[in-house]
Amino acid sequence: MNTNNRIIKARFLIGCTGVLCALAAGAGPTAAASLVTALGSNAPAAQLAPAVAASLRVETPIEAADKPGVFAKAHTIRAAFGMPDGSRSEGVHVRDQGRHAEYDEVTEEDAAGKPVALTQVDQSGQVLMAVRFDLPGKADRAAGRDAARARATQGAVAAGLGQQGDPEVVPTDAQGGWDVRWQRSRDGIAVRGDEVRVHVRVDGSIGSVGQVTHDLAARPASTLSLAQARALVADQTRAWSARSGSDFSVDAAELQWVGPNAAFDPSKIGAADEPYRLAWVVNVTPKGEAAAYTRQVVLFVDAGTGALLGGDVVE
Amino acid sequence: MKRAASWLVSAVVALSALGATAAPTYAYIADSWSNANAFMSACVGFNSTYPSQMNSQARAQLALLGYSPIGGALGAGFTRTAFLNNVFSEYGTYVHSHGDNYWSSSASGGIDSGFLQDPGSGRCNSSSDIIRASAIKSATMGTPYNLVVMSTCYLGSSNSTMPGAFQIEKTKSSTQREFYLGYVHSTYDSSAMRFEKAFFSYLNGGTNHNRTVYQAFQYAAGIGGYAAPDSADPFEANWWGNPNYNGTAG
Repeated sequence: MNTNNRIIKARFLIGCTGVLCALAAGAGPTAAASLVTALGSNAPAAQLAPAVAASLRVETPIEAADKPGVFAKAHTIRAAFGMPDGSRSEGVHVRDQGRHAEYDEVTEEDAAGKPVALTQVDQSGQVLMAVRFDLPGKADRAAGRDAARARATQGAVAAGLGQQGDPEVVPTDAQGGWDVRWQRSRDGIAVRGDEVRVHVRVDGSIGSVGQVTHDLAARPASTLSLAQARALVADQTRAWSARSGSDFSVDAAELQWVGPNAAFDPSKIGAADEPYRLAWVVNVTPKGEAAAYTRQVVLFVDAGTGALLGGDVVE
Repeated sequence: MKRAASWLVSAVVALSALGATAAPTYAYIADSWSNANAFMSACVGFNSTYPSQMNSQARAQLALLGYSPIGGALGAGFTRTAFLNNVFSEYGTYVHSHGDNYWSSSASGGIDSGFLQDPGSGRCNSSSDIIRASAIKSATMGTPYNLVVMSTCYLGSSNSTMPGAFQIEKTKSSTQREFYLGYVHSTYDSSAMRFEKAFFSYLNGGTNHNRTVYQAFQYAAGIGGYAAPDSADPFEANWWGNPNYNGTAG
């Protein structure tokens, strides 16, 4: 940002006390002011949780001599997917509070210290992800859907990833290239969000590979039928309609393994990950005016107990 | 410039009144705005926690990038008037709401992208709640922005006019300190939250802000695990700006 622009936007900021605090409040909403505003809206307590400025990643350096297996695995993965080696490798152990995971991460750096590729290996030796950081080259006309599938499959096999069956190949409109996805399932039932995803870039090279695998709980002894699950959700939407005046239609539903979440339950925010549970995943579509601002609601209904495990929203 | 000068005079007068001697520092304001009431019981019968979760996350991570103070509002304070009155002063802008690329006969190309203000407690959104890119662009008066995150559906798609509202050209080779992040398709809140968590966590990791927004974007896109509403709406984030920028304020 050049100096003139900085002067245009700049505000003098001193410790926010007395007259200056009043000045700052006049200049724009401060954090405190916005909380007061929210309180004035009678918003529920869950909305008012103050922001805590905390890093989501805690990184501790590791040496190749201490964890040679991690560095060797990272090299194997890069080689399998054609990702670049650097002039040197830097390792860290990461406690990732965002993903609720711990892993070792190896970053390849060029001679200037700029990262060129990164690989993550979890505590069990499984690859979580690998990514290259250079910009892709020019579009390769030969890098169509079939070529993308072939390149991704070749890399995944070479890397020894646990993908099964035929992948879904999805064009990535904005980035160019393709996402090649192997959906994880158990006994033919999809595990929501669990996948091997390989991004084939517009130049035909592989840009990233991610592998997501969650623990699964035991399958319930008995399972609600589809009709029972839809009836539970219909009861729920009738209650929503009574409270809001909005109408809903109960649409597609399927069994999936899902992670309980805090979508509709603030007491679960920040809770540790639980094993995924078998659930009926039921789509609900708002009708009328609500459809103009809420496109879809998803409910996770425990397939064993009928309890609401969480869900999702498309705003 | 006149506006800046008047603020400067006010500040100096206030300093004199206080007899303060502290050295002045610049404020790099970022605002985080989150529409909550549209997704509460009065409008949809349930209370979604995503607006508050994502607002808290954005505020914390913008602070780690050096933006200060962090303003904006969660809920009823997120009005069109508040947004447009404050956007000029911002270096960083985060919005979580319903977004779309709305038709406009008067807009070049027929698209005037927008998002919905919070409707207010006990009220629900209507089309009159749209804050359009054209109005934002006018309010910015051509000033530049560092980091703009549109945590909405569609405002990362190729026909979005929202980047231009913040003077961010839809190029991936800018040399300015600017970065715009948005989503291409209809997007689950859980997927947007996972992506943003990964994006900010990588960007704010390391030492001395030595990581770039492009690296953080590739990292977040690469981890996978993103559920999507249907095959027509795969999860896809998008960006424009300077890939070598580190996301910090100023």
